[in-house]
Amino acid sequence: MSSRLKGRVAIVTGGGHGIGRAYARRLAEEGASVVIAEIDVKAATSAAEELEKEGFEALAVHTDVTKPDSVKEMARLAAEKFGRIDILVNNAAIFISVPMSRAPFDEIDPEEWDRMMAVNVKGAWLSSCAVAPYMRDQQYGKIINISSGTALKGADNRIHYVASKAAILGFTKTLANELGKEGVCVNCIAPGSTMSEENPDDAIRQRRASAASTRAIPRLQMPGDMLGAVVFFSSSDSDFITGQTLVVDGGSCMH
Amino acid sequence: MKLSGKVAIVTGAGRNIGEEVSRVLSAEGATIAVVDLDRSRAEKVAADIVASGGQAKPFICDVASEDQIRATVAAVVDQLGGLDILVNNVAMSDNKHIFDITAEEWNRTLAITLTAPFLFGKYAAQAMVQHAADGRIINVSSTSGYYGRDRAIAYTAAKGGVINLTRSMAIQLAPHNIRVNSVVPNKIGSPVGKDDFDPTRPVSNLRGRPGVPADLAKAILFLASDDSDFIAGTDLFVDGGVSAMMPGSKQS
Repeated sequence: MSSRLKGRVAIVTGGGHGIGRAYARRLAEEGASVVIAEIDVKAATSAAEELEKEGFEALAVHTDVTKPDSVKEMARLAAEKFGRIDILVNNAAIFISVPMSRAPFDEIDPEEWDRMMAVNVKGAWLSSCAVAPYMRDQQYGKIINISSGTALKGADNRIHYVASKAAILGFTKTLANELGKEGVCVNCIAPGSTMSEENPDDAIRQRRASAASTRAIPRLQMPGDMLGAVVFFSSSDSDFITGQTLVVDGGSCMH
Repeated sequence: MKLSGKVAIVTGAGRNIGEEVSRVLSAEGATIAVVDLDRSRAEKVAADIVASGGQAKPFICDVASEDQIRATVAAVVDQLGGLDILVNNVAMSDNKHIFDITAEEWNRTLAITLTAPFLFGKYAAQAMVQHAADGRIINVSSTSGYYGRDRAIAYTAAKGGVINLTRSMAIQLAPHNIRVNSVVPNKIGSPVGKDDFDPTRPVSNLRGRPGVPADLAKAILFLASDDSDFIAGTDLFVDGGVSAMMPGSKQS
C-alpha cells in the first residue's frame, strides 16, 4: 500500500459495519489515523482493535449522528487523540445494520420516514458541523458524503431512503460552496447496489445479482469497489475537485 | 507504482495538459507514447521524461487523418510492445459565433476534437483486445461540453459529443475488458491551442485558485489505475467546483 494519507486523521461514521468498516480499513492502510464513529459500540471497538493489532492507529467512539452533542464529542475525542481532523466520511445511514423497510411509498411508517431523514440527512449535516471548526482552523479538509445510484435513477420502493440519498446531492454542492473558501473540498460517492450485508440471504443475493445485469461491467458490486474513490477524494490528488458526485456502479447510471 | 509495465498513448502531449499527463503517468511506471503534430514539442517532452528516469517515445501524428491515427497506434504497439491506456486529450477551439464560423472551420474543429478521439478509441481498443489488455481509455471533455457559451460554437458541440461518445464507448467496450471514462476540466492551464498560462486570467470557482495541468493529470491517473476499477462511463469534473455554483455567482 502507498502512504497517500500519511499524517492525516479520518473519521468514518458508521465505520463499524459493512462498507464503512471497509472504508476505515483502507484509509488506515493508506496511512491515516482513523476514528470509527459508531452507534454500535461493540462493532466500533472490534473494528478499532482489529486495526490497532495490525499496527494502525484507530479510535472507537460511540456516536449517535442524530445528536449534536454526540457528534461534537466525536470530533473533540478525535482531535484530542490525533491532533487534527482532515477527513470525514459521512457513511452512517439507515440501510442494513440499522435496517429499513423496502415498502411502497404509501405503506411507510411516518416514524421510519423521520428516522431515515434524521440519520441519513441530519446526521451528515450535524457531523459536518462538528468537524468544520477543526477544518477551518487548518484551512484544509475533505468531506465525503455517500449518496446512492437510486437517487439518480429512482427505485420501485423505499422512497424514504431514496429521498434521503437525493438530499445528499444538493447537500454536497451547498456545503462545497460554503466551505470552499476554507480550503475544504466536499464531494460525494454514489454506489450502485452493493453486496454490503455481512450475512446475505438468498433474496438479497438475488437482488444484488439482478442489479449486475444493468451494468456495462456486469458483475456483483462489492464494498471493495468504492475504496479507490474514497481514497482519491480523501487525498491531495483531488484538491481541485469539489461539489462533485462520482457514481461508482460499474457503468449503470452514467452521471 | 500504479502503472508499472503499462503502455499509454497521450494525444496532444506536446504541451500543457497533455505534457503533464505524460509526466504523471510516467512517474507511476507507464511507458508513454507522446503523440503530437509538432515534432519538436513531442521530442522535447519524451526526452524530458527519459532524462528524469522514465520511458517515453515521440510519435508524430496529424489527428485529422484516419490513416495517420491507424498508423500511429500500430507503431506504438510495435515499438512499445503493447497498449493499455489511451488518453484522448487533443482538441482545438474555433472560438467563433455561429454567424461567423464557416462549414470548413466547423468541420476542422469537429475532426480534431470529436472524430480524432473516436478514431483513436477505435484503433486503440482493437489493439487492446488483440493483446488481451486490461484497457483504460480516458477522454478529455470540458465544461464547455455541458454549458452553452457565447462563442466556440463548434468546440462546445464537439466537447458535448465527447461526453456521450464516452458513455457509448464504455458500454460497447466493457465486454472487451476496456473501461472508458471522461474528465471535465474548466479553465485548466493555458487556453486550448495556446502556449502560455496567464496567471491573471480571471477565475471564479470554489477553490479560489486557477486549475493547473497537474490537477487534471491526477484525476486521469485515478481513472487509469485500479483505484477506479468499477467506474465506467462517468464524467469526472475537475473544475474547482464551478459546476456546483449558482450560474454567475462569484465565490473566489
